[in-house]
Amino acid sequence: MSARPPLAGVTLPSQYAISLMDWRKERDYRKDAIKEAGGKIAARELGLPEPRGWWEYSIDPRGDGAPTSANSNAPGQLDPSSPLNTDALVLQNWWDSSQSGRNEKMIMQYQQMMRSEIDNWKDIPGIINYTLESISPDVYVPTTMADYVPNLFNIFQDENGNRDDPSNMDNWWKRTGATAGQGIVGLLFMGAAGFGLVMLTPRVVERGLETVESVVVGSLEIVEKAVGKTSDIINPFSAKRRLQRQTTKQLLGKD
Amino acid sequence: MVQSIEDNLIDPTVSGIMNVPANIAETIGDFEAFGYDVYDIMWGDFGSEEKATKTIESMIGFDRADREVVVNDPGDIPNQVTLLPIDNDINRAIGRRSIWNIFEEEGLKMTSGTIEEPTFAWNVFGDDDFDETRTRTVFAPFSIYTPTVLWPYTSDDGTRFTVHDFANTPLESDFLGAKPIVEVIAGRKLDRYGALPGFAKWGDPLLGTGPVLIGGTAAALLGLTAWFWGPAIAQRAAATAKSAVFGTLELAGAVGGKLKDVAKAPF
Repeated sequence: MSARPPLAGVTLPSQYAISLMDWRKERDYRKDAIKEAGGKIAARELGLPEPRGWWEYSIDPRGDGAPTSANSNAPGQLDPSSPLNTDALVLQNWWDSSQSGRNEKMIMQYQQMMRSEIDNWKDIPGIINYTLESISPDVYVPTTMADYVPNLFNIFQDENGNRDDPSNMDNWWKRTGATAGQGIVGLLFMGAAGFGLVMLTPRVVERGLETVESVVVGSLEIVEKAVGKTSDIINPFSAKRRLQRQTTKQLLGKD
Repeated sequence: MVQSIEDNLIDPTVSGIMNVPANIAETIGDFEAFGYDVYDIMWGDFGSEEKATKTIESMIGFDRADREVVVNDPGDIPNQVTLLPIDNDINRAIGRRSIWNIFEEEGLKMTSGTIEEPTFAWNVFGDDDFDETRTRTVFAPFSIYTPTVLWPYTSDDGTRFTVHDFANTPLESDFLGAKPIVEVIAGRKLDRYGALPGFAKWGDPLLGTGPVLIGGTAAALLGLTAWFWGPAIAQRAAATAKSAVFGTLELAGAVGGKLKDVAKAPF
């Protein structure tokens, strides 16, 4: 394996991922509190805080105020010397840092944190969030066309079988050629695969539904037969048993 | 052929011109005054052969080639421009923008940062502007707005390669050996693309030609082959919808009928 991650783009630091999770928790908590209070008006009367956006959270996680200074060059002109701003995420060292390439370990860590947030199978928003983050994680930022191409559709590899990494190439022209090549060819393959999938879809849907029908109807047939047979064995008042009893009585001349 | 011209004509000529100050300084050093070497009794800008060379270079304008441009990148170009209609709030911090709402916050922005380039002044004429710089605003709509899925450039640290990175990319060409002369005439060190005259205007459009060619070619190919894939996709989509609707109805009917049978089963 190469020392550098196999794609360009940038992966954000794990502190960023953790802060994102904390913000989501706060937002969900506040939303739930408002819902339980009986709506926005009732929540306002009770003085409940409203859910905040990511930017508002990142300049003041504690919610104790974020003083600004006209002379400050910090994001949002926050005053770095104010004790109230010690919590501001945007003033932390890691805020502007990012790692080149796609760091699968950090992305996996973030996705697993997202997964742990799903309460149960009824937590549909949590499941949707996790699914979307699995497809396109917030902590990975693609910066070129090649970053949209999954490994499955990439044909450019080095002699060790690793994906060609444009960011390892010093020459700008080579780097651009590698990025454009991976991007154009990969996206072309993805388009062709998508087209093939669309062509197959009617057949897949038709056969899929037929399969489901066979399985469900077949299972119900088994249930129907099982019910009938069980009835034959254990129910003395079933129509079949009654008929048998009547026939026997007739034969014996007891009716 | 070109290499031969460079080796036999351009290189010696340029080298001869560029060595003029050193040759003059050396010639001065050959003189003696009162039994002393000239440089032993001279001071200031002519206190040594080296100083004399520098002074003469300055007098005939050769020092114009030492002046460097400065690229000011305000870091206001997003790392990713996506076609998905995402919320800007969470993505603002990580430098991700959606093409659908990128204008909402900052409006239409056609420029980013500046290039400070030396004035065209010649020191030899005692021009006061020699040490001054002129600030050029960098035209950058392609770097700011081109969707990442069409962007074929990357910087060596994985971030989006913008017009500022392009400006700082080393210029490896030696202009067929004439670079020193060209630098004197241009009045600046031509060590990177951003130092080329007018880069602030043409740098970003040049970067934009790649995505425009890729996007344009893709659009043209899709348009020209639409007769093939258009009806096929429409037909399959209709067939899929039909299969889904009728298949589901059929499934519901079959399951319902069978459930009735199960309910009627003698028990």
